Amino acid sequence: MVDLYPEKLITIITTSALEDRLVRIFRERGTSGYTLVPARGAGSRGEQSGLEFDANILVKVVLPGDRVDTVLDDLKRMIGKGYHLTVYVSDVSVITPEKFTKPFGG
Amino acid sequence: MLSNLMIPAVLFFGLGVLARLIKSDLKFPPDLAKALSIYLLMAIGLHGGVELAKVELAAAVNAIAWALILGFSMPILGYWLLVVTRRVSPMDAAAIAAHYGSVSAGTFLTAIAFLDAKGIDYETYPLIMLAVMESPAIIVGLLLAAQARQKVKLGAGGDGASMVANGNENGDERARLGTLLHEALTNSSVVILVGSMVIGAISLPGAMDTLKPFIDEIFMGALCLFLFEMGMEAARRLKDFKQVGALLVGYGILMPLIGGTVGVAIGHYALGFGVGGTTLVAVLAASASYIAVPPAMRLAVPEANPSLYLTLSLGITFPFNVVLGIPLYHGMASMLAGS
Repeated sequence: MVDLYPEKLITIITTSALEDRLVRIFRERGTSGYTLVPARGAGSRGEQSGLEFDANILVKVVLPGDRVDTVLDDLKRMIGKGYHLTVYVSDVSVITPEKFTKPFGG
Repeated sequence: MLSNLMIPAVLFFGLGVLARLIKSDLKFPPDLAKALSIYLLMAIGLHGGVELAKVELAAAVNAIAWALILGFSMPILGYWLLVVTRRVSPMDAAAIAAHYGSVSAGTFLTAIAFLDAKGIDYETYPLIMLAVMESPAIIVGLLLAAQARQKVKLGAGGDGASMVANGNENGDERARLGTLLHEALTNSSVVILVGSMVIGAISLPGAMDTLKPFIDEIFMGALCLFLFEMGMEAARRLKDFKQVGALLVGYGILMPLIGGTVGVAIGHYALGFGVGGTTLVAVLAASASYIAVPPAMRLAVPEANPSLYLTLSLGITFPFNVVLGIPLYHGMASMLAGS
């Protein structure tokens, strides 16, 4: 039986124009990394075709529960300014918890 | 009149629209449009650069000055027209106006295909104007949006606490303007276009000859591919017409007509171009950006609705210019130059 350790997963869906800003938040808040994929779909702002000028991204960050709030505060502030972000947080289990404590990028 | 449309690039645009309307499963590989637009800007830049090495400095400076005047004044006019109708919020108006002050390289290249097909010569200066006109409208759009945002805030009333908050927000706003100015001036199309022009201008003529197949011979084919995909993108926006409403659809046609008329006047009277060059200046003034400006507005004016400005610039103004606008501006230019 492999040991499992609880972590939080934040998933964000938003326009690719915000990529740099999100990465800056992750760095400043000391997350251990992030994964980003191009995304397509439809929502309150209409259909996203995935072309350069009309592209969405889906970003996933796994982090310890006690660091979730700082990131969520920053995201809420962006939403308050009018940016459109779909954000959800879920409980996940990992097998290597030490992987998620060290900040990325030195 | 119909013969104006019998140009492969325009016909492929029509095929793209048709493919979408008949719900074909046709799909282009991801990033093809991006790759093609890099190629097209590079090729036209190199081509222009070779010609630019031969032009007069005074005339070039004059063309740049008029490009700046157009780039700064068109979005202000566009904003004012939108605010008067009271159909959209000031934030939406600022974002839309920025699109109309900037330019569409796709429309410009279609105009070149049109002129080539008719065997009409054109000056090289409009190409410099294309590079110059990418950025000013983005800056004007940002300033208009910042002003509208300030008004909304003042309208919301100001007790002590919110005054303090405003102070912080202002610093924020300034930092945001700084990054966006940087982005407006270093935006990818500007870098590719200006960089290729300089390379074309300073390279040895013999060395440039080896690039001839790349610059000239495959250019129109690549443009056909690009417009093919853009036709599908434009048609995808058709169903959003209902959402934007008849008045805004009218705006998407009125703005290029105003811009085209102003552009013909500037090209003929102020710059003294022939029919070809005057047509190209009109196309610059009439076209609306749909590649450079939307991401900038998403970032800078998040309050504005992207489906409004994308539908207007890509779904209405771009097809209008490709099909009707270009021959119309050419007709106006011929009338002026003929008289």
